[in-house]
Amino acid sequence: MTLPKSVPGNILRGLAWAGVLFLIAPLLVVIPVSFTPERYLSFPSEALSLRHYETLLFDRRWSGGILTSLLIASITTVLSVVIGTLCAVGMWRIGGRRMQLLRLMILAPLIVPSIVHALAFYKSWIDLGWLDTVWGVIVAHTTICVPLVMITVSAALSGFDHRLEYAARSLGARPLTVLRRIILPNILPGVVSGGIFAFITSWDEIIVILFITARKVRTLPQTIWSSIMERVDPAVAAISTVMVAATLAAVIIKLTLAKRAAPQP
Amino acid sequence: MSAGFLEIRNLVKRYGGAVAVDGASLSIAKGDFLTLLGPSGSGKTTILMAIAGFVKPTEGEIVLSGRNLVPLEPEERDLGIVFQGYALFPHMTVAQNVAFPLELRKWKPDAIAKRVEETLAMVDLTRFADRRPAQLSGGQQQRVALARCLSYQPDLLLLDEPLSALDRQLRARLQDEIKSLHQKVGVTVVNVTHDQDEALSMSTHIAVINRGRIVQYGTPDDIYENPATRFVARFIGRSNVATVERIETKSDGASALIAGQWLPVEPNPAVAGKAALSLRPEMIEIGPLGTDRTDARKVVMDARIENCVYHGGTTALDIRTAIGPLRAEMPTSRLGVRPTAGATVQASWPVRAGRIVSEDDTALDQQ
Repeated sequence: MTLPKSVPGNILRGLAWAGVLFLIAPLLVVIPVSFTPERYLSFPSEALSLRHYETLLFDRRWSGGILTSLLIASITTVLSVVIGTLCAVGMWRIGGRRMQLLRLMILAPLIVPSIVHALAFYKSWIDLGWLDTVWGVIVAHTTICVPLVMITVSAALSGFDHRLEYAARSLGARPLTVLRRIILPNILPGVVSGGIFAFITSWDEIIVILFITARKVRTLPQTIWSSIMERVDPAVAAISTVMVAATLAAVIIKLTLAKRAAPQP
Repeated sequence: MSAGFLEIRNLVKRYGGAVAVDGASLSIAKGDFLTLLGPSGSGKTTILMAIAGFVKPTEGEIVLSGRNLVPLEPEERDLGIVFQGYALFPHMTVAQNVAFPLELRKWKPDAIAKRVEETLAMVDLTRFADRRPAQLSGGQQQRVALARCLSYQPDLLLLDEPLSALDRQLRARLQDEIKSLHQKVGVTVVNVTHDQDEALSMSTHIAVINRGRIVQYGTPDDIYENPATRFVARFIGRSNVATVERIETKSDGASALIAGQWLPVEPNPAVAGKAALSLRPEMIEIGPLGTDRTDARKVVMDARIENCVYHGGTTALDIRTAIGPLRAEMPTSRLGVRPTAGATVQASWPVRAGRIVSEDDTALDQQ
């Protein structure tokens, strides 16, 4: 780091830190709020309390929401990783202009506003009888997440030499073996990050959920939503803190693993 | 011709309206080192990829030791291919790369370990067994690619311009290595290149390819010394080629009319139709004016030096003569004159050095 010690440099640095603060401060505010002993959103004045964390664990609405969201996000991740990866590999192998068009069509769900999307799901799910079912939500979320996986896997494939596939086949590998032993190991980072995107997207998706679920399926974002709408429950701050901590833990684990993998010859 | 080890019969590949390969036929014997030599876009790689199974021929047959390859998938053909850029698997070590085809063939682990060791020893890479391809030099990667193909002892080894990405010195060294490996292992090789030096020095046979057709097939010395067409003469050895207007044969031998000049030539009965005269640059001798012009076995004419380039051991000269511009290449030590641009000198060559070739490739079909 050899930033010049001139005034513009200092101003630049100050601006950068201000930006960081602007992004992080709202996140930090929820942490003290989550420890309030009161039943409403407030900074703890005297004592700290874990009562809102208790609520998360023992209140059926919260724990049920967390479990439902975990279930939906996990299955959505698996489905969209499998479909998105196969789709990206297939389109990479065929190539050409027509595939470009098809890719645009598949990426369309990312461009269409979620609310339009949600309406479309709502209308179709009525006809299919999938409203307010876990499977209905999983299918909708998979539709949204497949393009995300396709983007990251396609990016990984763009640096992948077609000749590796040719070489593997000439050495005697059938197409499935090529996929398993040659292509997948080389695009794994793209597959994993696609999976992470898919999980996060499904985990905190709310708009589509509001349209296609009612009473039977309640996900975590939905619980958060209604608890804010109804009575500003500090449990929202508690779940936010848990999620911030979980994200932080994931990033730290990722960095440590990367560091351990790096010095390899 | 008896059935060869590898037979290509009337191979045609069309992409829509474009013809990549236009009726190529070849037959090579076991142990041959065949080079498909041609400019880029000539269809040589298409022929190689058709043998490998990555290009489906529009017409024609490819038969390897009695087995028709065309309906087989690439993985069923049991060939070895070294690709341009080597296509080593980046996530595997050198040893794992070489073991890969053996694992696919369900070898036992100890047999695999033994063969990998033998193969790496053969290409002198034992020390690098645990490295990743990215940690090796271009030449080492090339040898890994060869080892990976040779470990399962395929009947046929295909080389897709594996040397073109390397610098000159390394290329020359690897050419020698591939050649000696070919002799040691005895595998039949089909090599693709646009580099005539590589083709001449490595191969036992060369097929010169132009516009999807095999223009000439033969041993390197045969192709070099007896080019059949203007294209072959130009492409291999950068020959001077001049269009012949007419050939007349009298009692004292044949003469060809070139640019209004009658020159003595040796007739070539194989050429029907339009002819041209091919003259290798190194056959032209440059000397001072006024040498004896009565030698019937020599063609002698005045020439003006337009340009000369010193290459050390040899000197290349662009000269202008009565039959047009010519390029001459002489050992610098044997240059009879100090070459200066604009000087008038005498150019001469033995009559038998001038070779009558066919003006265009298509005329060969009528033979």
